[in-house]
Amino acid sequence: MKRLAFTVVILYYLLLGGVGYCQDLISEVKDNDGNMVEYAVITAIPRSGEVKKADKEIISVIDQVDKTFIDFVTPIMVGTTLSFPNSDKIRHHVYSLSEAKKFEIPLYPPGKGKVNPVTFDKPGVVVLGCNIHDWMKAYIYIVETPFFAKTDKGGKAIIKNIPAGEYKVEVWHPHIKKSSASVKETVVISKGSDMKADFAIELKKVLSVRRAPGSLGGGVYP
Amino acid sequence: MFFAISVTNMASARSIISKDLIMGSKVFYRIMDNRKNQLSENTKILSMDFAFKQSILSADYETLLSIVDNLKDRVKADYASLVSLEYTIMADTLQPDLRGKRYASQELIEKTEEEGEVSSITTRDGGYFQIVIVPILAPDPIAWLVIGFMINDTVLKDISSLIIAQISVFHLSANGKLNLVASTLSEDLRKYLVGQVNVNILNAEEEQSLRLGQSEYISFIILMEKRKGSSFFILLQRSLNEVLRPYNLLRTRFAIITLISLLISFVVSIRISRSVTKPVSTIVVGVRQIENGNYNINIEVNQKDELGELSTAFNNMARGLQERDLVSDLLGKVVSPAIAKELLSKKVELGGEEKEVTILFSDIRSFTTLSENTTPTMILNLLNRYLTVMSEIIERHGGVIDKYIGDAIMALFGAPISHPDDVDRALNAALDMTEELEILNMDFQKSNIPPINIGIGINTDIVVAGNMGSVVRHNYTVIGDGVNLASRLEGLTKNYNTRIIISESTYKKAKEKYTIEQLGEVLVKGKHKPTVIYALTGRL
Repeated sequence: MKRLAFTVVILYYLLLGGVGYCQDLISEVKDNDGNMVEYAVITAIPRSGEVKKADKEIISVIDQVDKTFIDFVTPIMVGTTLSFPNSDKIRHHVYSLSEAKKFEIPLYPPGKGKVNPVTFDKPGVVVLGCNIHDWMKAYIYIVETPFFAKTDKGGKAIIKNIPAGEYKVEVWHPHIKKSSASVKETVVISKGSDMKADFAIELKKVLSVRRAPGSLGGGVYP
Repeated sequence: MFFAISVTNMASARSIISKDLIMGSKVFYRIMDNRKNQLSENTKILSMDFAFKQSILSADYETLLSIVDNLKDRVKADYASLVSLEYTIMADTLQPDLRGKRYASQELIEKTEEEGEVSSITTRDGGYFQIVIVPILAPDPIAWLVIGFMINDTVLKDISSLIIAQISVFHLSANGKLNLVASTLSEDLRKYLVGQVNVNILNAEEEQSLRLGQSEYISFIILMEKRKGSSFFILLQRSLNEVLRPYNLLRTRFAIITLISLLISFVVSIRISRSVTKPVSTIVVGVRQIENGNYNINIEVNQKDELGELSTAFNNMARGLQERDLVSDLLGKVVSPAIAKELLSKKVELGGEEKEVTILFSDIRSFTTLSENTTPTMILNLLNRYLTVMSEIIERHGGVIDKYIGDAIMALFGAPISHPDDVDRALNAALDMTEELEILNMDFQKSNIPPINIGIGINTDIVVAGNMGSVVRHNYTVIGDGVNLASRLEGLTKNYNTRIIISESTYKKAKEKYTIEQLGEVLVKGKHKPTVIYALTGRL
């Protein structure tokens, strides 16, 4: 009972302290046409250069459901291990030819949980494909900061509880054009107040195999 | 006519060709499109090769080149290039030393980035290629695969077999240099073609006529591709001669047929003219014969045509004329020539006309007694000689023997033909007959034939003269009381012992002077008044 009371007190402090000391970085990402952009990743890199190492224990998941990667974009911190379960009834063949992480999980059977773990230890973009389903595509964005968030359908991303300080804030999207203004060199986060860092980015046309509507498989070019 | 057909044919051939070529150009586009699509599809499938994708980023250069070369062979392409996302050549099967150099047609890759795939025509090493560029997706693009298919004569030949036209591809480079890329034409014709084609011709929108060697080619030009100032033109051509070949063949045949038919018609016309002129002249000869009165001819035309029929008809006519001549001759013997003539000249009809006729009856006296004492042959002989002589006298005087009744003669003066002096003719004939009888009797005496005596009765009266009898058989004769009286007067000669007795009417109508003596009066049947009769004994 004593212990419980202590925990409650600690929690209270923590929560109270959160309100008092922690603040969020809120970003909205639009494209040039003013449409909200989903799957954009906002990263905030402390200008001090101090980066906390990723917890090896953090395990995230990219599932495969109905021959589609879930999720389309997965931002992770360097050193994170991702597992690749398979919720379909057929096998999949996940591969990456990207520099950041080349790997291949050849024709693996359906399975749930922490199966097929792959650790991503270099920053960069990993494009995932499935050798037997041409249209299947997903991106893993490996960053060197724990402060990142992904925009939702409304184009909004919130990096919660970001400590006060100066940050270099960047936006990334699988289809972002290099010419886009994707970096805000210095964003100052002040204690106790949320900060906004909005982006307008240019998206490029994407060449990929699209899943033919209503078909089991197959694919067409754009 | 040949000329007219020829002109029409040429015009229609031209229009047919140009229509065909326009259609051909559409088919050509379609074929090229299909070809492009097929090449694209093939190339895309190549780009899906997983081992290839893996090798692009990991394999050593030699292996990569070997893989690309293998891919090229899979689709039977002429070359393949792998181009990095930075537009540098990673591997090229045609010129391996291009590795690391910038890809020449970067704009095509950029276009591919936009459109996913591009096909175009490029020139390399003096050769012309249809190229297809596709991304290698893993699953984002990691490189560009360029596959080139050479445009050469063989390719064009394949297409030309589908559109039935000669195909030539020209390249007009940006600096205005014109090059024949490939062609289905023979080497010789190509030389003519290169000599004739210029920029103006290529830019013309309508079909043109180009003379290549001996033949005229209707040519249709289409722009296949234009890029960076250089253009590719397709020239579709069809030889007018080739199209007209069937017609020319037909024309030759037609000429031969015409010649043959002319020859045949010439021969036939000669034969026909012979078969016409010959029988015609034969018939003319026959007609001349007929003209000259020779009916006894028979012309021979052995033909089964109208002329044959004509000759048969002619022969029948000659027979007919001959028969008629014979009949008329015979008729003249059987009946008197005058009656015969009358019968032959007129249409013979039954019926008669009233006419004044002087009827003469003569008879051999006591002929019955004579016949009893003499042989029938002798009688006939006598009779014939007598009748011949007497008939001859009557006819000499214009009389007509109506009939012989045994030894009696009935003769008419004034029928069928009237003369103003019929009565005198009859009287003179009667006198001549009695005179001639003396001479005849002297002859008979020599032949031991007893002399004969004759009686002659003459009467002039209105009688009915004409053809009497049945429809098929009839005689020209006269009937009436006048005839009976003449017969009766002849009978009276015995009683009055005179040779010639004439009636009162005859007496009154006689114009010449005769020795006449009145005999008395007789009652004539059917008349109440007696008629005066006279004996004629001679001329004054």
